[in-house]
Amino acid sequence: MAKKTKKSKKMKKKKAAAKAAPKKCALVAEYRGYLMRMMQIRAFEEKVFELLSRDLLKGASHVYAGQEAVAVGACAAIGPEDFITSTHRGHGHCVARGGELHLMLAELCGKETGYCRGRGGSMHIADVNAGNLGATGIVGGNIPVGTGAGIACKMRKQGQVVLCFFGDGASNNGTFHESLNMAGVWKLPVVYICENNLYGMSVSVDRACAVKDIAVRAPGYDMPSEIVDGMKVLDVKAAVEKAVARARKADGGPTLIECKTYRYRGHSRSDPRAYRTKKEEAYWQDRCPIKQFSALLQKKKLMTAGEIKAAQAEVDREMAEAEDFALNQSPYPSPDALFEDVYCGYIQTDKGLAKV
Amino acid sequence: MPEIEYRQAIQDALREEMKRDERVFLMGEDIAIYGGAYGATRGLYEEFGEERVRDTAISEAAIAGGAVGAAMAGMRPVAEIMYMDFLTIAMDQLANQGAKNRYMFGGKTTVPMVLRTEGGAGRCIAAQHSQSLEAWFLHVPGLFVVCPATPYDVKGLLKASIRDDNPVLFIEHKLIYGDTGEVPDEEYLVPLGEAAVTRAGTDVTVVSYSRMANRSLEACTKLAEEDGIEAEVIDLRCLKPMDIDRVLDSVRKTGRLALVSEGCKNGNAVNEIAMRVNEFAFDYLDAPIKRICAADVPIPMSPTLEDATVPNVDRICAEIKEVVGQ
Amino acid sequence: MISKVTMPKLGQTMEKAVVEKWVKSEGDEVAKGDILLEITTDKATLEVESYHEGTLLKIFAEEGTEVPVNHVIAVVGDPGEEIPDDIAAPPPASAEEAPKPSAPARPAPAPSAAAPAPSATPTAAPVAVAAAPAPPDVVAPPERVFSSPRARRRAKEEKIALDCLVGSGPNGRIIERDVTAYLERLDAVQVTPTARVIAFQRGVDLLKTKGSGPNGRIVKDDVADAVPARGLREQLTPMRRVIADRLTHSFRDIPHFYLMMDMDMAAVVPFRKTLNDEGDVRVSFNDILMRACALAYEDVPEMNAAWLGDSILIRPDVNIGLAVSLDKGLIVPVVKDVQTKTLQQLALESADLVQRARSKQLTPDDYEGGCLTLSNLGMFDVDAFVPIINPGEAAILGVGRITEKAIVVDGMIAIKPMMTVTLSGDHRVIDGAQAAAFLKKIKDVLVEPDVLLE
Repeated sequence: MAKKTKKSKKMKKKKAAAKAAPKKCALVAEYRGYLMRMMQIRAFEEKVFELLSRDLLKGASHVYAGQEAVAVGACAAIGPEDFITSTHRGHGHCVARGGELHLMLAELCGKETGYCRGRGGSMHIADVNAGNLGATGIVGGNIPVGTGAGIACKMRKQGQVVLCFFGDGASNNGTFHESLNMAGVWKLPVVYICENNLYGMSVSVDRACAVKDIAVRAPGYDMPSEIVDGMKVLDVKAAVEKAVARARKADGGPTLIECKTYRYRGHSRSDPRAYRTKKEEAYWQDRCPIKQFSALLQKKKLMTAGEIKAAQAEVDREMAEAEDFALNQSPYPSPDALFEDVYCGYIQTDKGLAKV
Repeated sequence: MPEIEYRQAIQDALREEMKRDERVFLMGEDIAIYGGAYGATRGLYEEFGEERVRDTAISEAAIAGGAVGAAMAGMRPVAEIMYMDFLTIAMDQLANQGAKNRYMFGGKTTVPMVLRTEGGAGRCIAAQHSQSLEAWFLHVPGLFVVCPATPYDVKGLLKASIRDDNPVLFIEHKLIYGDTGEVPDEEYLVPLGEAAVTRAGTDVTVVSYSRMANRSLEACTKLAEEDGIEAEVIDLRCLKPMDIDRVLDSVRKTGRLALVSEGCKNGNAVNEIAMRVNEFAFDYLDAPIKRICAADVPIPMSPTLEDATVPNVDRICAEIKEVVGQ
Repeated sequence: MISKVTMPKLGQTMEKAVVEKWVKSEGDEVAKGDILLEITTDKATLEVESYHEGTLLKIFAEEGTEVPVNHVIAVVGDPGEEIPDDIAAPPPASAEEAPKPSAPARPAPAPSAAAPAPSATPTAAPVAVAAAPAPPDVVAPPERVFSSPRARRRAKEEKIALDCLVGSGPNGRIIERDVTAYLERLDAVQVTPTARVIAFQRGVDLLKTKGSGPNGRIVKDDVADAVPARGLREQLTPMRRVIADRLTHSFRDIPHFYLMMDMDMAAVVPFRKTLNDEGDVRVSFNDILMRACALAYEDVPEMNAAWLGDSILIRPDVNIGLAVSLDKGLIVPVVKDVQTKTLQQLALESADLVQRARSKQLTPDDYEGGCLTLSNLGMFDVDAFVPIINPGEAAILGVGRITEKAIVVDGMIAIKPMMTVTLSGDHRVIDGAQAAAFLKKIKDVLVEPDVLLE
């Protein structure tokens, strides 16, 4: 019998390693991608908060910091042909769906170069061509819209799915119930992702919601549910992937996924967060999705600390360029263009509408 | 030319458009198996199946919002809200999402949806099932509002609305579904934003829409026979886009204007017409503009009260006589 | 019991009157003596009292309608009583209704008989009292004329000044048909284009303009001189209409001649003062003048003449009218038989007449039958003026103010209170010589006023 030499054992290991190398490369690339996405979101949100405080950014802005893992993890589970609908706290979803920071910041600054030509701003940011059917300022307003997109997907029979993001607050709104019921009846390919960050605006979920876990509502609409640690990007991805796979099947139907998460900042910039304790906030800060994932990547030897730092630096650079682009390079829309695109194919005159 | 019912004309329009474009589908309460509360979608479920003719739960927000989402995702939905009184439940989806998304998203999307509904009084079903709320929707930039009064118009306008890329609130009238009228077999469209002069005249311009357009024509025929008043009657057919030029031309000719609407007087849609006449034809007015509207009351159930609320032929005649100075 | 209320005859010559204002309304209770309504004759506005007791059941004559004397204007009775259908039928013509014969038929017994003139002139007093509750003087709200935008546009296009139009719309609004109607009437009028433009610019009403061109064509000059139609339009009151008619007739048809004479009032002034200090009746200059006129008539009786067309009537009684100015008009109450009255009596009577004139309480008898009118504008600082004869009278005396003047007496300059009097005379019945003699007598009397006390 040929003795297995140490050499051949090593060779085997090397061969195996060589085989696994492209896989590992791919994995590193993938995970690095998630990390960078989350870093981008964090950097963007911090920048937004800073610009708000400096009054360089006008209007409302609801910051997603702390919830990055949900958007990134969920969007990692879908492809370019799929759709998402977003909320007033939608910057994270936009980035996760491939949104570019400079175009986003320009939009938040109300500039012509923004995604929506400065018409929508923070709460209505959208990129329909890229499958982001838009954020909405109405809590729960996007749930029927996402459901409708689900109808379209089902009728097209091309296996497209919709990710419909909303918060714990929206799950108490009428639209949630009407939409999930409709999706349950018609078996629509919609993954309803509830980001339970424990608070509506100031009212905590245990004071507003009749149930502790939003997910328990799913059987009421004949759909499966899952509760996920929303601070762990891979956990979110796994759960959404399962739901997406189900939805892609004909009559696979919808799923309700509840992500337990936390928003680090207040509801908006004017919110002093008096309704939360420092202890609670500290607890969730410790479980920051970026910190967690970085630690995991290093532990799994997929990225080094240095590489992580480099990634952060790249994000920071990107953010700086975005800031320059939005603040300094981008013009405001002209008032002459005020009436453009209210309608399709018609212009407004002082007498009414005229067909173009 | 064949004469068909208003409801038949709607069915035909939907059928033709669904055949023509597979992206067109219907959803609403009781539209499929039941054929619609007023029979407007009768036969379509049998012909096109449950994928394309969808009975929904009683969920007006989901119906309207579903139409918004489906439209943005590439379909051309024709959703129905059974009574326009229920639009209140669908309001956010229609007014805040559907009407505004194109503009808010920088013109980078369209919402090619049609939301069919019906309004109007005359069946003694009281205040929550009899309203004419079109005025509310004139106040939402981005939304079209169409109010056809005849079988010919409803077919042509519904087809045009489905083919248009703007969100359209298509308001039928519950008392007209059984009206018959000539409708050609051949394909035709009625362009959005074009009014019809249903009677030529010289003494006064009478502008209206929906059921009141038919009533006004009836009243003005009577006025010509009995009082020698030659009124020019205009059926607007569309409130947005509105063919105000047709009205202005007529007012320049006659110098007098009466506006007839089934909405209640305060905040009525016709105020828009009056204001535009004021802006563009002030010098041609020989008398103050008069509006003939429903009383400012929740529509009462009792037939005598309901009749007293909504303009009837006698009231329309009397008020037009006043405008003409008799 | 149903009682008829008929148009009363409140004056010898009254034949008809206009129902001015109903004081009582249908359904009101009336007692004997209650004032039912006011009527306007061509002279005055008079109150009509009820001779019946009961409820005013029905009014047949609306305000503003003209009703002949003795025709039924209303009905009084018990509430709910049935009114016969024919109750308002006009009465059969009676002897009373026959037009009054002219004066020659009754020379003697009526000294204050209705004055002469078989011509259409109504009797003596030229004016009517301004009615207290007069019809509104103004047609439209005085500050604004309403017009529709369409009418304005049309008027501008057709070059018609809005001032020329009367509105038939609500609030007196001028509407298109008013412009159309005006244009139709204007069609019949020939106007040169220039005149049309000028009329438009100046606001002249072409329908009220006389044309001096061929065929009565209105030319530029006609319009350039015409009075613009701008300003507040007032409806004519009955009084104004009467003044206009009678004085136009007088000015046009009576050949006036004028004599002026300055009167020395140096004696009269203290004379009057003494009279008033000692007596309890206040005598005015007018009273003195009246008495003086009476004395002048004694000397020159031919002055008391009336033109009858084919003859002249010389009257024996001196009835002198006193011109009393009213708000927007005037009236001339007549003091009868001045020749028989003392200064004090004249003073009392004239004061009474003037007071009643001002409070619109004159009856037709009060202002009929004069032979001379005395018009004194001295209190208005008028030095002298040339008055118009009151038709039916032979002359009118226009009296100016008494003012200190420097005159020559015996070759020396003296300061005297002087008064200028103008007598306008009807040259058909009197001549300059008589008029001069008349004035001279007055002048002499005033210089020796004690004569007035006789």
